[in-house]
Amino acid sequence: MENVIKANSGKDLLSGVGKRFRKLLLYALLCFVAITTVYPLLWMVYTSFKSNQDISMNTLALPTKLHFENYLEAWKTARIGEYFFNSILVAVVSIIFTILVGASAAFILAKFKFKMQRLVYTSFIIGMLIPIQSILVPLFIQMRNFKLLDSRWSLILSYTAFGLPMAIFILESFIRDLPSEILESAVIDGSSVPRAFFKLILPMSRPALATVIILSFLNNWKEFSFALIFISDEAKKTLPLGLYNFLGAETNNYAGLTAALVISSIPVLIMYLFMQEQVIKGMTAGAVKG
Amino acid sequence: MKKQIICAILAISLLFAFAGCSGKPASQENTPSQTPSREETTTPAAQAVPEKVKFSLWHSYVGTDQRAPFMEARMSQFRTQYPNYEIDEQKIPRDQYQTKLKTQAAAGQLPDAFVIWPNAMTIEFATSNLLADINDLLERNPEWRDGFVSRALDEFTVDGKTYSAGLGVSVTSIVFYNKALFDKYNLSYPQSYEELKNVITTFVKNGVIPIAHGNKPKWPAQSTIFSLMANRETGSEWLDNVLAKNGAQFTDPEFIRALEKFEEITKLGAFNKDFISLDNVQMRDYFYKGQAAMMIDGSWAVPDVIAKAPEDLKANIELDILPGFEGGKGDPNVMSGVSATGIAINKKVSPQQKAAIEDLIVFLTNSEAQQMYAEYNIPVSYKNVTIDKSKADPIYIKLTELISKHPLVTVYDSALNSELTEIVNNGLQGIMVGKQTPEEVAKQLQAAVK
Amino acid sequence: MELISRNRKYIFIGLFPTVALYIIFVIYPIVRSFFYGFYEWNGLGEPIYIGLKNFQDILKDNIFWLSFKNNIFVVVASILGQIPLGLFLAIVLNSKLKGAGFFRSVLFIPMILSTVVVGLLWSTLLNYQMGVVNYILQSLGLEKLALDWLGNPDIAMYTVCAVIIWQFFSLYMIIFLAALQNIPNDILEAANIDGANELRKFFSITLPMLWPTVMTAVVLCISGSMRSFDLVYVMTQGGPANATELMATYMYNKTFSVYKYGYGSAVSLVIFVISFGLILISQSLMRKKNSDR
Repeated sequence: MENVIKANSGKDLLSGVGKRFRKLLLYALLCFVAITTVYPLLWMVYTSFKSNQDISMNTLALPTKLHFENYLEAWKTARIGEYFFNSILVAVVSIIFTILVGASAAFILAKFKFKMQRLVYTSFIIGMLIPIQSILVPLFIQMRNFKLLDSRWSLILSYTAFGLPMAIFILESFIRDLPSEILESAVIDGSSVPRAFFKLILPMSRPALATVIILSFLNNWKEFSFALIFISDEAKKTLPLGLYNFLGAETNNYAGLTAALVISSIPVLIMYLFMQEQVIKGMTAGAVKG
Repeated sequence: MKKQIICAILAISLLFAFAGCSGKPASQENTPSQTPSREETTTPAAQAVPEKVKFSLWHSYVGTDQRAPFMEARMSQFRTQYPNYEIDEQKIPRDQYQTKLKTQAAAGQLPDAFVIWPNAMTIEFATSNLLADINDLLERNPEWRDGFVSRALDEFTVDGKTYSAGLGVSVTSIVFYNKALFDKYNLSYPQSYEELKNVITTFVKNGVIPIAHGNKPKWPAQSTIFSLMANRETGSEWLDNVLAKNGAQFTDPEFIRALEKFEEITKLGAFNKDFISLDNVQMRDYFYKGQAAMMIDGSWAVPDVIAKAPEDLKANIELDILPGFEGGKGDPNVMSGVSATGIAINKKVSPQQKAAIEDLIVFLTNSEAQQMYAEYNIPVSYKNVTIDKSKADPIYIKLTELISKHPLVTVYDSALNSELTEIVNNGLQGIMVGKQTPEEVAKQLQAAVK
Repeated sequence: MELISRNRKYIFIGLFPTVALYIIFVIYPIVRSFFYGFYEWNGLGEPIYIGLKNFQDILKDNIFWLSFKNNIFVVVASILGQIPLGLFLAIVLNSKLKGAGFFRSVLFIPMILSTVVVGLLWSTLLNYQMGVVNYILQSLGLEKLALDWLGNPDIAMYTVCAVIIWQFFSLYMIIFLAALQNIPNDILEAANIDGANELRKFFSITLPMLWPTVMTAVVLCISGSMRSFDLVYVMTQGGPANATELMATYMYNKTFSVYKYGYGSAVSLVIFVISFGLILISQSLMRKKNSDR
């Protein structure tokens, strides 16, 4: 990056040509990265129309014949019809919790001063340092103690709790940078602190909130280990559990898997496309208030 | 200030409250398995109205597993035959099954009946006192018991107690070879190690991959190739003597010779160059495309071969075993194999549940079930099963013929404990990529023998 | 600030639900998992208390230290790869560049894809014999660069790191994009009028203002890399010959495959301590740097 910019720093004479060249270089770089990111998605989509034999023989080639039946099979084997709704429900409810609980804590940590502030803040780091696989057993026992096994709450509560560190870090550093004067003048004008939080802080934090929503949704949508351990009831299982039906030790059904993955990627894709607008929109919204 | 203190006290007391009520590791927290039948009166019910019995069953026969279609068909027959059994069936793919089962085992909450692997896993579960044995059942059904090949029961037996019966067997070291390629280069199937080397060099010279192989998952080289190579050099009793510390050691010259031969064929270019980055499923593509002359794989590959190999290739596929080695102590006629998984019974179940699960174990392995294995191309675990050749696929028929000709010997990963298995798997990978020498691997193995 | 400080009750109200939930479902299970580290336990039978024996064994465990070394490599590669790349792309795509919206959408794809797809596709592309990457290199006349990317134990770790960077750079991109919205446009525009060139603008305005977010990103990056598991599991399973073994894959193997639950828990406690140490060090280094400005 530095090279790109260094290449024409200062030299006003060259700046016209330099700017053009720089832009070209920038686009070349962006396009290169974009190709490496778009191709996997395209590959997943067109592979989902190939037969397993075809995938074996020519892994990267385009399908010679469109096998729509893969989607039918995916729908049945991964039980998409049954699990889809559960996944949406769990992911969305967890996000609402994460945002409510996380944003209020981030707000307190960013704008208040109190004794154990550092301790509380640091303790949120702890949750991100342990490989998930090693707390499956204690967490399973915990859920059993609370009689939450086989309940959607086991997933909602654990997704919320484990989503908190990232949410708090992103929101805290964002809210801390919001000018304190706005908040203070609002409180002087007679607004209560909760009111100021909901009416001022939250709207102004829109870019960070959107980021947290995107990342939490992704994590919750793909999460597998907790769902595997906590849920045995067919009616409450989530999508990732179904996806693993395609992978075995003895044979792999990549045709069915990619078809199922295409279907399961759609909500995340829509979510992202919609939310990334919000990440950027914050600019104008924030500017008006600032 | 006060608020903070209250907050802190609350938080800490909460933490300790939970820690206090369950400070010890979990396995002691025995929760009763969900058994409504347990509370029911145990009066001997009249034959006409069989008592309702409920039990949970976990298995990994789902999705791409070879036994998935068999299990589905057989379970529905079971439900029809025993309408009074209410089964809560959980089907979980193999890797995930292991995680879920072991988590629940650690938390002291195993299902009533569950699939278990022979050898290492059976030993761990049995010695931890989690399983109910089926010795009674075997006594009561001598006909059923005596039908099995010994492996199907022995590998689930710990200290004289048998805990399960295998749903078929798995032969781990079948050489699938493309006869057309052998003919093309005027080669016949090798009958000795020297001939094998000659075959390898000839194919390499002509740009054909001699043996398709994928060792990313680490176990394939050990399970499908090396177990039998070692047996060819050392014979069958040697390994038992090593593990029993009975005069033999991994550093013995015959074992090192086996490792050296494995190194030698690797260096000759026996395998596709990308063997380390392919798994045991992906590697088959070289064979299916006709680019590889042989592939060494287990009987679990048979359904895949039948489904995915192109028709013109299929006609040329023959099955055989690795040749005997000159000067080796092993019987050149044996091949390596292991019992398939079976259903085990949780020690905590009620007598009624145990009886019900025993009915299931028999139902899944009796002669009728064995006939069904054949329909789904699963190698049978009974000694005498006549296969309807008009219905079976030619490759499956070749497989049964191969099994009938060659007795099975132990696979390394079923004889060794999981720690030694890890060492041998990683060691073979190390030899293949030139990171370790045969002597180093042998020493490392011997050092871990307890 | 005083006004807010007067409303102290809100500290309790705002934090309590979060902290309670967090203690019950995160902290407590973690603390409890550490208990197992002091036991010899196969995860099935009776655990036996053995004090620090597991930790002594870890010190002597060559494969653990190999995985530790690999892991540190992943951490360094991620911090030096993902964060600068994410930051650069965020700044570029936050400008009025034509097509910025398109690139913002497209560059996020690796985060959306399932690790199974990422692992499978990259292994295929990087295959020694038939991979597209080597095909391209060869047709460019760069035969020497056509390596056995995942099969050569000396290279495999670099390859895995490259894929990890590729998979996660957009996570940091989106975090920085959000943070950039907090820099008022007039500041940057004022700098433009002054004729500050972009590099100077970056170092004197953008970077200092983004610094808290960079620090957050480093925390996320360290914790994420220390726990990386999925991709390695799909792409190499720790091979060849443990060349890409990471601490989390090693821990998982011990816990769930070889019946050494106690030892596995001890390993995860060590992972925890190391990660925590790394984060503290990085934070104090970065804080210093910040105050220098």
